[in-house]
Amino acid sequence: MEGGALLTEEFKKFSQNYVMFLHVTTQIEGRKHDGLLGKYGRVAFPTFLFLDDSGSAIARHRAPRTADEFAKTAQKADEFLELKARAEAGDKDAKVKYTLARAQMGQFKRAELEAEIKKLGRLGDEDAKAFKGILAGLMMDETSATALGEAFAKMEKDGYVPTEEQKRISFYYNIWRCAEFKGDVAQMEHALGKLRKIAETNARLGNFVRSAEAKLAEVKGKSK
Amino acid sequence: MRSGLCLGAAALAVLLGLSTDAYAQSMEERLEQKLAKEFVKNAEWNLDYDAALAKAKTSKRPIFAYFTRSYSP
Repeated sequence: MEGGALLTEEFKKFSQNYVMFLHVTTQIEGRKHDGLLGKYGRVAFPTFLFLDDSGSAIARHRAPRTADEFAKTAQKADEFLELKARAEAGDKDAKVKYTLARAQMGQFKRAELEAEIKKLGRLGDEDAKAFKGILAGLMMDETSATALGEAFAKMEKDGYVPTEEQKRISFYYNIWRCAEFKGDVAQMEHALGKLRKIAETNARLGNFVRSAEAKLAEVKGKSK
Repeated sequence: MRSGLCLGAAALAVLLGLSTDAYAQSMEERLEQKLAKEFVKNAEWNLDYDAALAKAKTSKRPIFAYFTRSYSP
């Protein structure tokens, strides 16, 4: 792709309408924003996103990687920003659609989305169904993460910690996710400390540790 | 016996130190190789996140973000 679609004249033309941002994950220790992709809940390369000026993801490109297809995703990004402007101007219907679009882009945790829905007041059947579908997905994530994390935290308390490194990573990652859902700063710090220790000799874990550190700082900031 | 062990530990530390440096250097080199690719010249890519956000604010244009990696092909 770097030797194909991104080299074409069409792509060059397309690029002139946007602020182009190239992020390279390097695994270089201490490099600013090296774990940025994790902020968007993504782990796969390559990832193409459209972002607004606050850095929130407003559209994700999942189609073939050609200038034409990028332009189609860009249209979705433009629509998202139009909705935002209308919602901020007080258009009630746009506010519902904008909240839905934000939820579809993964901008909310379950509790945050529930609070946003409450603020919207009475919803039409179709919108209510769409919100319920998104909430169901969030509930599934939360339930599986908290159930596993709680079980693993109890195992650790009872002195059972896997010796095999990959299993230990998964063990503390699940404790971390559970703590993240609950906003349990002490448990987040504990799990992150264990993962940081493993990362000292396992460079592949570096990106996760860096993005988790950013997440922890964010949670700590919110709880102040 | 004890001094032999100490020497062994020191040698290991030096070796580990060197390999850490070599690792960091190779990561830097891989980044340079990535940024030297032809596709980087085909658009006005911003490499700095904060600068891209600032540009989006002033230009009122969305950001097209391409996330890739240099540490592995």
